[in-house]
Amino acid sequence: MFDRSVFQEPVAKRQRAAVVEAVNKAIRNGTFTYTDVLMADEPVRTYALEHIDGCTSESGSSSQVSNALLGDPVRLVCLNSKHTIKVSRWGTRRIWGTNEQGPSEKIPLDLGTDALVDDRHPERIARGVLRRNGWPIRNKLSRTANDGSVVEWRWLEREANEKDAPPEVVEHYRAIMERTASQAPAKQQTKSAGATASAHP
Amino acid sequence: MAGVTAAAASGVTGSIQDALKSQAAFELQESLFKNNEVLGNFGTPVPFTGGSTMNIKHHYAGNASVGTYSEGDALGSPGSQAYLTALWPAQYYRAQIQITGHVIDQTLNGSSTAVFYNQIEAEFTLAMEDLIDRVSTDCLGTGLTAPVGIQGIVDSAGTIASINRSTYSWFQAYETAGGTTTVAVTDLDGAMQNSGDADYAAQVDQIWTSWKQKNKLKGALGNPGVSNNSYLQSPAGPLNTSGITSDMFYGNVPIKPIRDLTNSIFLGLTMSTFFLGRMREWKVEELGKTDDSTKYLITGAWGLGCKNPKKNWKVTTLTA
Repeated sequence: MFDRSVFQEPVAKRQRAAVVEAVNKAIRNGTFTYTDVLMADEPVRTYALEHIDGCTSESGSSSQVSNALLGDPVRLVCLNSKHTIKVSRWGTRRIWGTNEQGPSEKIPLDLGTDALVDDRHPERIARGVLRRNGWPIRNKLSRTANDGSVVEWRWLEREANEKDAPPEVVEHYRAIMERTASQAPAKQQTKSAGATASAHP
Repeated sequence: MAGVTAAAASGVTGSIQDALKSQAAFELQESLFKNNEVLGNFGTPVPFTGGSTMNIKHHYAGNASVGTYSEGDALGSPGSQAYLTALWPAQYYRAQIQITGHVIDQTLNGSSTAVFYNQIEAEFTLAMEDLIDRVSTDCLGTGLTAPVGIQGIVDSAGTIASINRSTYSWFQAYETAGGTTTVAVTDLDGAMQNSGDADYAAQVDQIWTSWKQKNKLKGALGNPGVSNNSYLQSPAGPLNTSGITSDMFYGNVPIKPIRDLTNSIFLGLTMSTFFLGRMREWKVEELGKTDDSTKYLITGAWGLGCKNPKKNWKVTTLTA
């Protein structure tokens, strides 16, 4: 998504502008993925996420300057069909045996193997899953020390159809296609531009 | 019964009741739990440097021009570092005390000749303990804004210190849900593995959890007398049932049970990243007279912060 020149731009202001242009272009073309953004080196990653979320840090601290561009659900799929996407959200539980609510804590949520995952502010669950467990995001950010286990479907679909796609990308794509062939069309997020229910415009 | 009796009521001839000084011991016994075990973990409080927040400058991106080159290669573009400031807030705390003139008179201003304990002085010292308890439980809490809590800091989402962690991903702590609702050593292994290496690069030196989860972890390791227990009792040594009061370690990292901490989590903490900001030291001020009473106000302002949340982890949702 980002040309090499974006990473080599020496002036921060111009680099920020180049990132904004690249993100807008990807959104327009229907090729934007969080995986591309989260795998980008800093500060490109931060500049891209700032633009998507309507933030800026040009003053030295972060401030909200516009509405977020994205926030629709993102289709995430476990590479291993026996795994599920587990997340937790802030909530409260009733104190057992009373009608009173206990203190705020993280409540578990199992999203299954293949899910459209909410990505609205402030939790941005989908982005959080990709940051921690995304493949190959985690592999790259950890300098191959750790492995991701959940893939952003739109990224996988696009990459698997590239001429120089790595064999494991093609293999994962094929395996997921096979195991989800019987699923409802609603989960089959495509990369067609302008799909209103998709994660990306 | 005639004569001197112990049983007779006060005022009755021969009763010892009027001669007895008291049936209470000469001390005040604390029976109210107040948490004073938290704040000391964060080291010497750091004074605020002006303004409403403690500002920490973060360096989050390196020079992209770094690379190798061969003889004769043309120069590339220069690069630069990138920075952002986190703004950690403080929370003001207060307690009010009012002492009437009658109290001063009748207790002889707290003299030991009149009272078993100096109730006037105790109002101040115990109010301070109440305040410390409140600050401590806030520090253990989930707050993202003042009062900020450690569970809010060691988290992967939400805005804290004016930094949205979904946007600024380098400010996220590593957070994962337990594999099941009961803790397993593999939960701690996974968190430690993922946070230990790039790009979190944590240097966890303490693990905090509740007494309940310490008990659960001990159960996961094995309890004496249970079949398939992995522990063997040394026949030469003294019998020891092994309890949850025994020190417990993950490798060389102590696992500390923390009272008042939510009982469904484990926190892996790089303690040097935390600080307790001091906006206002505790102070007691006399507000002046109200009729025959004197009012006092105790105030202080404190805020928990973290210089690098990314170097900490949290395992959640351990409900069993």
